[in-house]
Amino acid sequence: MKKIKQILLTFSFVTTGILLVAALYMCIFWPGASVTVKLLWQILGLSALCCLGNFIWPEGEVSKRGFLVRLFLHYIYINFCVLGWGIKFQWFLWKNINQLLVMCAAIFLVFLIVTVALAAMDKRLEKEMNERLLQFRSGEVE
Amino acid sequence: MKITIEDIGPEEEDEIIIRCKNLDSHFLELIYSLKMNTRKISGSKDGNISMIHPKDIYYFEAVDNKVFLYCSKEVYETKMKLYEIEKEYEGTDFFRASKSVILNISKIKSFASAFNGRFEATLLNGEKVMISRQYVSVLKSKLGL
Repeated sequence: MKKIKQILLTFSFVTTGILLVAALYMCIFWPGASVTVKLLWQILGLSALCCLGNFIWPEGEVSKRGFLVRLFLHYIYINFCVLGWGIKFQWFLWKNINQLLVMCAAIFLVFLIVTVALAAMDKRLEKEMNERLLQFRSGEVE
Repeated sequence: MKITIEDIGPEEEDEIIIRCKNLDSHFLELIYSLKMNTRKISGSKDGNISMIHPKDIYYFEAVDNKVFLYCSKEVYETKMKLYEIEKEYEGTDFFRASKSVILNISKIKSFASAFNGRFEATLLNGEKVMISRQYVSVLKSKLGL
């Protein structure tokens, strides 16, 4: 259940990221293009595929080194998915180096935003827990 | 609620019997409080055995099949297994913080988020103990979050 919640959270983050990138990307490279139903499904499909990367992370404890290795592998997996999906559905032409570079930069940016957002959520939880700890120690929480 | 106190013989063991219709949260709190206040744990240090009050224990840690209990400054070895401690002090201030650590929440000074959903607890004596991602939910429920 916890894993499903985590996957759904990632799905919402990734879908938002892909929509944002798709909007910017179309503005730059395909200004005359219109959004089709197929494209919407393709975006949702890619989000689902990217979420499978969550299985890289085990339920148990991970060392700092393990964390960094998994983070790198997760990043490579996302790149593989997005670029592969993009080529398959012709979102960009792989021979066009500018389109490829922009896509790589966009993947990095979205990955960074999602990672930072998750860290920010942890920070918020840290604040809440510290507040509750103070209440606990003063006897308000039992 | 009726409270009955009976005198017993010197050879008999002290005993508390709770007779109630429902074992509700108030009774459970009473039981947990009794456990925290009365049941001391034996710990050995340099060949000497001491009885340690649970309220003085900061955390328990399992290292190489041995379980140690950490107080403000002293460290003792206990014969109890970590799962036995977890069961014995269920519902009290102790909670599982990782596979090898049981932590006393009342000895935590503050929390700091670490990488990958983990949290680092700074204790009142300045020590730092890591709380695993999988046990954060236990801590949150302890704190009423």
